[in-house]
Amino acid sequence: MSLRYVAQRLLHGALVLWIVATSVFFLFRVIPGDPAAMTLGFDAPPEALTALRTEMGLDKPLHVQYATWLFRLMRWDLGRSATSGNAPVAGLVFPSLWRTLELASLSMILAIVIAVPLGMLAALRVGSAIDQVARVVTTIGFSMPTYVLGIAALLVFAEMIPLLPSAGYVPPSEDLVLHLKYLILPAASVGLVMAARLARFMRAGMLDVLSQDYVRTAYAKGLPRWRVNARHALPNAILAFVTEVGVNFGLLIGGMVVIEQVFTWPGLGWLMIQSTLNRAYDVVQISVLICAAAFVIVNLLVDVSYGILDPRIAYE
Amino acid sequence: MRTRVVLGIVAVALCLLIGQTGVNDERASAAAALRPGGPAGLPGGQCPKRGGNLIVGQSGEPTSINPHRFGDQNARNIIIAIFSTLVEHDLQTYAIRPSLAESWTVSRDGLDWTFKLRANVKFHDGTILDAEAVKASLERSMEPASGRTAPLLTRVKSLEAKDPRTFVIHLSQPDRILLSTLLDVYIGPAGVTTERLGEAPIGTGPFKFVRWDRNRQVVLDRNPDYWRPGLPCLDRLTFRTIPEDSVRSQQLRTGQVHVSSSGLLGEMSNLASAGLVLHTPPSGYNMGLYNIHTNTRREPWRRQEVRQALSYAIDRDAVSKALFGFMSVLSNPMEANKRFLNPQAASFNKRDLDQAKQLLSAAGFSAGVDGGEAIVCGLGFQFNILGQLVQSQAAEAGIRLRLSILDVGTYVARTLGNRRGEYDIAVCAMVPKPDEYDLLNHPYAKLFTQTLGWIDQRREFYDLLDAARSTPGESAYRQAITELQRIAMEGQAEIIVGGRLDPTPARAFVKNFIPHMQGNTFFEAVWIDR
Repeated sequence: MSLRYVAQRLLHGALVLWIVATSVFFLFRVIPGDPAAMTLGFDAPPEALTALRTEMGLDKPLHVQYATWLFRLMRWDLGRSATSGNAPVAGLVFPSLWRTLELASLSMILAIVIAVPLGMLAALRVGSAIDQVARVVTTIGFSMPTYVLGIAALLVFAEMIPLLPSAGYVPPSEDLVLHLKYLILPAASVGLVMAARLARFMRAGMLDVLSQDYVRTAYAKGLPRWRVNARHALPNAILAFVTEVGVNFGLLIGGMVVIEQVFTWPGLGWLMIQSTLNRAYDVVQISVLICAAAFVIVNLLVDVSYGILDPRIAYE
Repeated sequence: MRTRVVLGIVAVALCLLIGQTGVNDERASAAAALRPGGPAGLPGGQCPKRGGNLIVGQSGEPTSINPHRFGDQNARNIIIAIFSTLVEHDLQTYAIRPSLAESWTVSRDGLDWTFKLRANVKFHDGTILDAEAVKASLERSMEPASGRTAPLLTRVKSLEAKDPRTFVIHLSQPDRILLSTLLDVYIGPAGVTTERLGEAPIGTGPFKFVRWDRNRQVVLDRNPDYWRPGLPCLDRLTFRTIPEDSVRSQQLRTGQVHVSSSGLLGEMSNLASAGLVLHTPPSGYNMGLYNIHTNTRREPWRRQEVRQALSYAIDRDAVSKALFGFMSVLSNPMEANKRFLNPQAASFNKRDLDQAKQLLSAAGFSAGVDGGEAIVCGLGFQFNILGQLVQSQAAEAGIRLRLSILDVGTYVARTLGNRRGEYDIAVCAMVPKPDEYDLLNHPYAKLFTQTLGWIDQRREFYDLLDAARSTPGESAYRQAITELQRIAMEGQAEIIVGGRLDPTPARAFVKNFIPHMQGNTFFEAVWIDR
């Protein structure tokens, strides 16, 4: 893999990010409402709104606002959020991103741990009872919205059998055990649904590989079954699986909105929804940029991992 | 002879007293009726039990904790725990009583208000409250961007810190609502900018700001130097952000949250059966008004008959039932303040579909009329129900409406903000103060003069409202309020659907919680009895 290729991809990524940033900037200016109206709320007389809009620079022409924001962004001055108590945007976005990454990573690990063996087993025992059960379970999981599972989990494990706290967040520095307890239900809700999706993918991938000539040849050569599966089938099936994991992980970072809302997990998704409702322009713009950047980076990492997982793949 | 001498001395003493303080007769009697501020509901003014961390579930993250720039109830609940004001409401009678101001006097012409400040009141940073701090707070409240209070303080000519404990407000014209306005002027130290105060709020209130964990909670601790000795009862107050109603309800049931400051109307039966106490405002009071703004600059809402027809078409009893009875049936905002109610003013409390149809016919719409777009503020499920009921009930009278349920940002933008006036009717709720003036000023004037557009049609209402604010005599004032109600009820530019009665659910061990008419949560005298 050449450095030139990576540089090219990074350049493309930068272009994508600029397009995303510009689109979000103008999209949010089209939506009715602004940070001044949200700061003063229902009780704001028009004169006060006008005064606050001027104070916030919202009375300036759009292109001036855009140029100011872009210039500040290039200097990594993310500004302050007027509708979040004037907090620095960086102080809002990055801790939230970290919390989302934590939740998404744990969910994905859980999903992989379930999906890989389940998908493999179903593919290796295709048509068997195990396969049938796996297919039914994964279909249910696949079709179930995460928030339904989340609310059901809340009612069962936090209210009927109060084993876990229902929703909320405690920083690990404050109480690590409680922090992990708060993490279990949202991570399990996301992870189980994701596991269903990935298990189906794993099964399909394995079935495809198992029907290939080289697998048949390996069996014909008398290699033990486990060795054929582990050394020949799995590495080839895992390639497409890694792509799927990568894409889904990118989706998870931006797609935690609902589950974070249900579990009051103060991650990036929750921040985005609150900031959108509060018209916190700066916060939403940076949050969306981070989600876009996550996609760009994850896709690049997936492509890089191809070269590592399959030496036949080389990028020019 | 002896009696005459005594009477003479008393008369001279009274003359001297009145001459010295410059209080006119009416206001002197009003001031005499005021009692010094004391905690409501506490036996002997003392906490039966102390300590504990009360966790309050809130429906959203506050947009600000700046006492001069905030717009949502979640923010207000936090701000009123940190800051005190010169005057405050008695939570049981809603009379205005002294708070940081120990007493006040008004000059004979009503233009100079002199406030005597309470002695030895400390801010949370240890500095002493003085007239300079009060002056600075008033000045911050009068900044143009201080939306809540600035437009109500336009009659203030100058502010004077006479001595450390004496503060004077000089007015350009008499102002009956000055005290009521001061309920919203939060007192912070001098030498602090409005912006800084929002980042590190320092007040004299019962609780001190500790930290704001963004998107999670705001933590306040007991102020040991609070000027009401022995209060507050709690050691800590935590406002936790839990946007999902079902989760907030569930956390209340399991005890992770002790009080929910808002919403949850749809969860009341679950909460009641789980043993939670549902606190409602005192009988006869409500917590704001469900209302419909009509855009009187647009057809057909320009026509009074169409507005009246819609008001008659609304079945307020049915709306109340749909809201589980948590709405009082009323169409005149003054029904929340019976002392000033004009019984002669038109009432729309009883649905009258025939009358509605007749009014539409008289307006030339015997075959019905397209009422355009009804925008609804998406503040919770009760507003969706309200919007749908208004739409279906209006249709029965022949008024066709298109319903748009909007997020708060869009709703504010289209009613008051940068896309002001982009609606035909707007369904939401408002929270006027319980005094007779604000009950008229808030729905028809304060914010909505421009957005209703009614000022083009009934200028005399606005002139009379403005004049009433300066009216010195009680009878003339009462007459003005009576007439204002007559015009308002006839005009129906703002259709009042009913009074909000949203209960505040709390765990049974939360004692002495008194709900406030404006939905504010006061925790100064609340204690935990586990």
